[in-house]
Amino acid sequence: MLREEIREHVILGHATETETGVQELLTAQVSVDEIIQQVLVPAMAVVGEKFRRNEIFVPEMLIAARAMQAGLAVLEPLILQTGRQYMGRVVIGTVKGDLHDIGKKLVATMLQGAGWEVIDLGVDVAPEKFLQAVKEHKPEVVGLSALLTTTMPNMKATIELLKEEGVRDQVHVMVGGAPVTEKFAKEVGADGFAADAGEAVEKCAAFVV
Amino acid sequence: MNSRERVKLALAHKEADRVPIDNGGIVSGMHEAAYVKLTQFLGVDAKVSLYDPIQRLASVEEPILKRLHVDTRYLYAQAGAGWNYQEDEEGFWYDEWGVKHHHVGYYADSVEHPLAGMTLKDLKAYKFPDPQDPARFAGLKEKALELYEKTEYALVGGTIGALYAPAWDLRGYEQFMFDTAADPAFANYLLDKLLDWWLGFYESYLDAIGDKIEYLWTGDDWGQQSGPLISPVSFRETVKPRFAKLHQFIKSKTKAKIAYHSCGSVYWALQDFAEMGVDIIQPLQPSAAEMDDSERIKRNFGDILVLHGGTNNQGTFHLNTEAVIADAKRRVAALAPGGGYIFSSGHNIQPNCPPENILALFDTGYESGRYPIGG
Repeated sequence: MLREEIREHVILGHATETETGVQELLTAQVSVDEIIQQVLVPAMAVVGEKFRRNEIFVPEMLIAARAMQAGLAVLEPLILQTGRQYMGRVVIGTVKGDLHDIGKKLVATMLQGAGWEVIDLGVDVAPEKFLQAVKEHKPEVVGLSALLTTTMPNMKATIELLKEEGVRDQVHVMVGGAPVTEKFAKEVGADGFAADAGEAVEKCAAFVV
Repeated sequence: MNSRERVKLALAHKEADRVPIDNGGIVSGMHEAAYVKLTQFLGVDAKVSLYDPIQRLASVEEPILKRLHVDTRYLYAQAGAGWNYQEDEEGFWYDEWGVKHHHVGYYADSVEHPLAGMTLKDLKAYKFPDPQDPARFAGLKEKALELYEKTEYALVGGTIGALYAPAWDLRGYEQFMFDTAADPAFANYLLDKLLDWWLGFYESYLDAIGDKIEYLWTGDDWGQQSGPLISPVSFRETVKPRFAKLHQFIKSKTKAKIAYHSCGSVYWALQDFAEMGVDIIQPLQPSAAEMDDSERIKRNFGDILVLHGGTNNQGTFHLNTEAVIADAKRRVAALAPGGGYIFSSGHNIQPNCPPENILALFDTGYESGRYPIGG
């Protein structure tokens, strides 16, 4: 299968075909790096861009993400074997009081696809849990998600706790979620804001490159 | 002019003495936390009783409804026999459909879904609760008659007929959205099964209240913050015909108007809503893309849709009173001229809306809403 075809399968959300295509590339001795950087990441970048332009929507984004995951699953044993870490490590979670995780999961999948090690703390994550994860995993980036205006203040509470505990400067904090704005991100002292998953990947990359 | 006449005129796209004001629906209500703070602020003893344990909406009591100049009163169906709301110590509870919810912070969300993991064959064999269970409608006809005869309020059917929202709860949001793209046979079967449920439900519900109400609610969320939630093409292919069928059936049972709720950026769908039999559209969320230009919405759709809400709940209600008043005035000035506008909080009042802002909102709707607008 041509790389271009595999990219198209990811974009269209064809999980089985993506899996087969990635297998074929491996059999043809194409490196894991190359498959990720030249096939999967560019495909998901197209997906992110189409999503941002309202050309595709949540269902199409979800099937593309699953196709991407199917491709990554093929590569995972090899990635584990070499113990490689491409871009860095991200700790991500939905803040306390908030159970919404579709957006956060999409961001996590996109980041994985872009070569990040992602530690997903799930939903309703207390500031203390973020703190503990920062201390334990020493990530480059912490991603805070909220869908509710009523839980957005917990982003600030989390950042404040990281400050109090003296680890704030060791990480880049990203915030996102439907009601979150650039202005809000600045107010709460985050390092970055992304309006969607594609932008989140770009912003995270900018932190470490 | 009384409340009922006021609402009737607004629904007929005519100017009444003032813009009618709504509160008390599934999407025009008040969170219990906001309600408690409001009653404390007003120095009133309040009894909190929830009519929606997911969004944690409190029944706003009569003296408060009067204080907020509310013209509507709601007639809800009840739960089926044998079910009641019971939350355990950790905040978990099951709804009548077997969906497990978790109450965390200010809201509850579904966390376990009875249809998750099912095949189409399983789904075909799966039985939903009985939509025509008499327990749902016990005493409702009598209550409707009493409110109709003894008050002058405009009565409204409260229960909100929806297709995607229950599908998300029953199947899981992510899985159902995935189904719509990857397994449309399953998704469409589930939508039809839910549609059948609502047809059965509305048959009995409207037998009880159909000749006493001015409008009733249906709806689903088709917008996200930045644009459509699903593709307009699939909306038109799979969603629109099903709601058209539901609305057609409702209209065969009642003269009441149909109020449709959809959050988010839905300018693209306003014409579709009208074509599927919707009379009233709510909440016109200004903080979503393409929804802030109330004048444009009024100009292009004000003749075919009654506009409901339009105030900037997400963007201003948690700020200061001045921001709430300025926004409410702006929406009234844009949406009210010529009639065809019902003022409300543009979705439920959230826990972070201070009592001063709630009063300012409704007082502004009341005062700025006098016709002629700006006169």
